[in-house]
Amino acid sequence: MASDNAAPSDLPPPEEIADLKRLAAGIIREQGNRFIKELLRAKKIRIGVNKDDFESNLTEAIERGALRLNDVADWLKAVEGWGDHHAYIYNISAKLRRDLTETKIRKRVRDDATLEEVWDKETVLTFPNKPRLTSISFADPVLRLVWQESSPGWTPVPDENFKVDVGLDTFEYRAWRKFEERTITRFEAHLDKGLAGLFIADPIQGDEHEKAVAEARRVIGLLMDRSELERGQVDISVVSRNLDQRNVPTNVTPNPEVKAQKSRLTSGGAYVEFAANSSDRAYWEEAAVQNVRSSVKAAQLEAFQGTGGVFIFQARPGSGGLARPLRVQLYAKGNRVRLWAQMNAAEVWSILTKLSTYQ
Amino acid sequence: MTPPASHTSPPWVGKGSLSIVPPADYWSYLAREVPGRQLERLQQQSDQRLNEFSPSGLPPPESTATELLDHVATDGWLERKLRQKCPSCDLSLDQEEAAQPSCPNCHEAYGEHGGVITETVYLRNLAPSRAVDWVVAIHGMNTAGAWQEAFSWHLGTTWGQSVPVAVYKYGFVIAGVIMAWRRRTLQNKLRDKLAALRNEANARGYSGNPDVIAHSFGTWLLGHLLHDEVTRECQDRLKFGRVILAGCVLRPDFDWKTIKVAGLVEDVLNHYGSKDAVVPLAHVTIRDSGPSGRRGFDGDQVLNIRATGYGHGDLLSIEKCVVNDKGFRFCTGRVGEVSHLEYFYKRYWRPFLTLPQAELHGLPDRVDPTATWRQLPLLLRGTVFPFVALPFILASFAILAACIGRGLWGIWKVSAIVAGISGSALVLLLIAIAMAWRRLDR
Repeated sequence: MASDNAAPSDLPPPEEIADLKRLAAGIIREQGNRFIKELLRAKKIRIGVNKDDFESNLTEAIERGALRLNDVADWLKAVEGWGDHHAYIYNISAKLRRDLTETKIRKRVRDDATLEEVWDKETVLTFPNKPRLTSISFADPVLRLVWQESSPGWTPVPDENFKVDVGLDTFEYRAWRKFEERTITRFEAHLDKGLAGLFIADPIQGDEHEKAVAEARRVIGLLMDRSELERGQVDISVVSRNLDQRNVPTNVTPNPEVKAQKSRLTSGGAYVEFAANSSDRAYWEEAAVQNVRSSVKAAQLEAFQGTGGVFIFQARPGSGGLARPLRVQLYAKGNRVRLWAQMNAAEVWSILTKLSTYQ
Repeated sequence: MTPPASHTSPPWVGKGSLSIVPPADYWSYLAREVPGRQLERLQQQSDQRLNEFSPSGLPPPESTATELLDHVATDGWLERKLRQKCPSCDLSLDQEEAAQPSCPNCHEAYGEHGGVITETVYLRNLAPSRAVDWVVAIHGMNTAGAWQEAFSWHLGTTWGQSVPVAVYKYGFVIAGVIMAWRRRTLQNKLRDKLAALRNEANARGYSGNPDVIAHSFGTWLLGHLLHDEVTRECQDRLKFGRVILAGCVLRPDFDWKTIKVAGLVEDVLNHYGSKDAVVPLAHVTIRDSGPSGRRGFDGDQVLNIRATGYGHGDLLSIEKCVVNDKGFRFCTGRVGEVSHLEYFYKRYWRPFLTLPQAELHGLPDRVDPTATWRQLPLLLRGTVFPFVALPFILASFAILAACIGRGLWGIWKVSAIVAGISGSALVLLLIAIAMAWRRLDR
């Protein structure tokens, strides 16, 4: 149900409407349907069933003043750039924690890094064409660094493919449409949780990912003792192994919090891999496979390293847990965590905190 | 308006469930409709609690395998689903991911590799099998518990993974069971042992609770141990998984509810023999006991399973065999024979240990008592018996010793000569050994 139309005097100026429409088009391309629905529902705008419906309903709401720039900015702050990331997790040592005070960070931003212009800045709604550090802030006590980029992406459009005969040869031309992707790279150090995370949106394939990591490391190095931070990097091999082991059902915990969809355990030059065919099931949901897995107890697990796996954190809304199931993939190589779904900040930190308990 | 049900419509259409295994009746019905080895394999897979089926998992031809699975899906026992995969990296895709032009994992365009792969699978949602971590076996009185070794062997060889069985032995007890202090000592020893085993198991990565099988007086010890555990602090309590009782001598009105509510046990199976002649005596000889091993427990806290015609130790016998579902055959080693113990283990106890709780009601031969148990008058409940029996036993031993002593007194001179000669020979032998030892040692 749409809200009542705004009076003509309440309508945003035409340039804001134009900006908002451009922003809406970008958002719809980037954001998961679930989050767009939440925005529309919160603003009492008709939802629809697919992205075309979302776009037309959003446009209509913008034109009649039911959706303003502030609404979108607040909403983006909560959901944009969370999830669908590659994350590197770090334990914050006591030494580093002592070193990360607002006064010291502020001084380093101003004097050492000369990044005063981004201190405490809001992230920008229009993304720059090249990756740029747009905000450094320290509050709650969380140190936040944000890089934004409107990077080009390519999507295949098979309908536009065509073939051309040149002489005796036939050439096939395959069409790819260019689109702008709003990507956010983040670094957050949650001193209260004792955890920090570097979140890279760029795919692991290609050199964009490496460049983004290198840039983030450079700036982080200006603000804190980077080697101390990196010494505390979470060993994903151990996390992956323990996460799998501790979530095999027992008669005390017949329905564990985490479902292992896939897990690979390596010992020397050989490995065993347990995997479910379906993306939403655990391998141990098949009784015979569960039996095999249960034969390895925690005491024998020292002989194995986790190479990685896909794990589904189950929804436990009643007990303060996640409101929906979320899938993460762990890679021991590179000590990397892939957050598959688009999430909000609370969901991401809930998962990272849980992961850190499996070290 | 709903049309009247057709008399010709198959009886099972839409009546199945995705969360339970189809009953035997369903397979018999299906065998009449689509007999053959595909059906046999499917039933086998279903009984093994598989959650996913595909035509390629059944014997060829694939076309009839698909028809069979469709048939079972129509009846409601399976759900037909399309599964989508990335043609490049084989990632299983959800609906949203498959709707995108390229794979979120490898970033390859689906179209470049022939499009998203779609396969048909048949799924159901049986709850995972219950995990059995480790097991404790407690024997009865007047026995060394030979069945414990056989039980441990069956568990070890048929489970598919290592399930340690702690065989608890408290020794040969006959008269001791009627004495309260002796029972208390045995109960305390059992508790100490179980606590030590729990700590050891936990330290070695066995994080689950142990399941227990107990027989005869072992059931009394276990029941009273659990009863006393309730009074301890929560963190000190011993906790168990599922409990199997055979030849049980606990009172049929034993308070299992309090024990279960306290979380000390998950479920209890009482396998009783309709011809158990021993357990009715327990009530008159052992205080706070009763014939639950012959008639079952009252109330709804315990799964009572009746073994018609079986006596006190018959369920655990490894000398008697079952052939073609008929018991009490002496085992000769022929093919097709299984000992009573193995038969009951496979048919009742193993399913009891592994089935999810919601499916336990499907265990066969469940028969609850028809009337509430009434205990005997106070003086006949094992209260007076020890004070009568114990002096009688002691006096009998004294008389026996006196009789033997008097007989031996007549031959004391002969005994003295034999003792003198053999004693001298023993001394000489020891001296010779000592000398030989010294020579060898040089």
